[in-house]
Amino acid sequence: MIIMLLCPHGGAISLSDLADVAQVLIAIANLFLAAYVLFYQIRKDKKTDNQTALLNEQNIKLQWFKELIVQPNMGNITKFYSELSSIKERISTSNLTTPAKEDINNFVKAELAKFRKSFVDVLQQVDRGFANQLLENLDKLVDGITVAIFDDNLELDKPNVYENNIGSKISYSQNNLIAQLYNYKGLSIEKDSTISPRSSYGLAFL
Amino acid sequence: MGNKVYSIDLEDFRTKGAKVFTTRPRGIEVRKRSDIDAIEPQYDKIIVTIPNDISSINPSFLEEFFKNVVTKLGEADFYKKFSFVNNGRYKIDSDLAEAVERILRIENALA
Repeated sequence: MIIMLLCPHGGAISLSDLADVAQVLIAIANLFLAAYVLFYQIRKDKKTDNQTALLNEQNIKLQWFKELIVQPNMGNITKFYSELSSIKERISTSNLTTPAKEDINNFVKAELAKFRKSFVDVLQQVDRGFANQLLENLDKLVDGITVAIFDDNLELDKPNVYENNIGSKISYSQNNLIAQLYNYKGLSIEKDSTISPRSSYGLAFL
Repeated sequence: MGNKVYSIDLEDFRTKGAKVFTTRPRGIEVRKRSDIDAIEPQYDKIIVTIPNDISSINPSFLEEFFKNVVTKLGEADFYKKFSFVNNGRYKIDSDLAEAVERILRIENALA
């Protein structure tokens, strides 16, 4: 059709005519290609802008998280674990009476309650799932101490027995808490507080 | 209010020789085994008996054990409906208060 239009007199098509037609086709193809590249680039730029905006928002949230929640509570975190470690002196007496064990255990539970109110509850307002993860870590520690204190088979006045059953648990929990805070990405961790019975606490079910 | 009373004896859920109730998984287990969520609406008063020689019931256990009934009843009605009997040294009050506060803090955060 194009060739017919270019040759109105019905004469033979010359090589020059074909070259003209080819040029027109190439120009049209170029036009489509340029439009496609332009459209693709605009879409890519928009996607990159959205990702950058999200990243910026995440960075701002992390900065606030650090400045408003973590830094003001670093003292509370250290104090909590230091208070728990202080029970070593009280346990060092052999043949602790049941009331003495109960006093130590009540002290540990009271420390957790204070720490929960001052730190975990603040986190709860920012990220419920993350706060529950931290509380799981803390509960695991306190439950482990309770079990050890009331286990008559453990001679906790012996340093290595204390270390294996309480001291190492305190260190592990503290390191774990710091790792949890360090690895927090500012993204909400939605998780129901119900713990699966399959999640092991490494404790005998008493 | 009527006077239908139901009793739960924690001795029935105790591991032989254990002096403590701890951990969340154990609280979930006792909640299911005792069927407390289904029993609660059928009675006006529920009495929980704590074995005399128990030394501790940790908040982690209590939080999971009472989670659904506290959420449903609210703090005031829970304390009206549930009472605790223990003739031994252990007093549940502060651990129970901590557990109830934890449960309701989750609810408040969701509100």
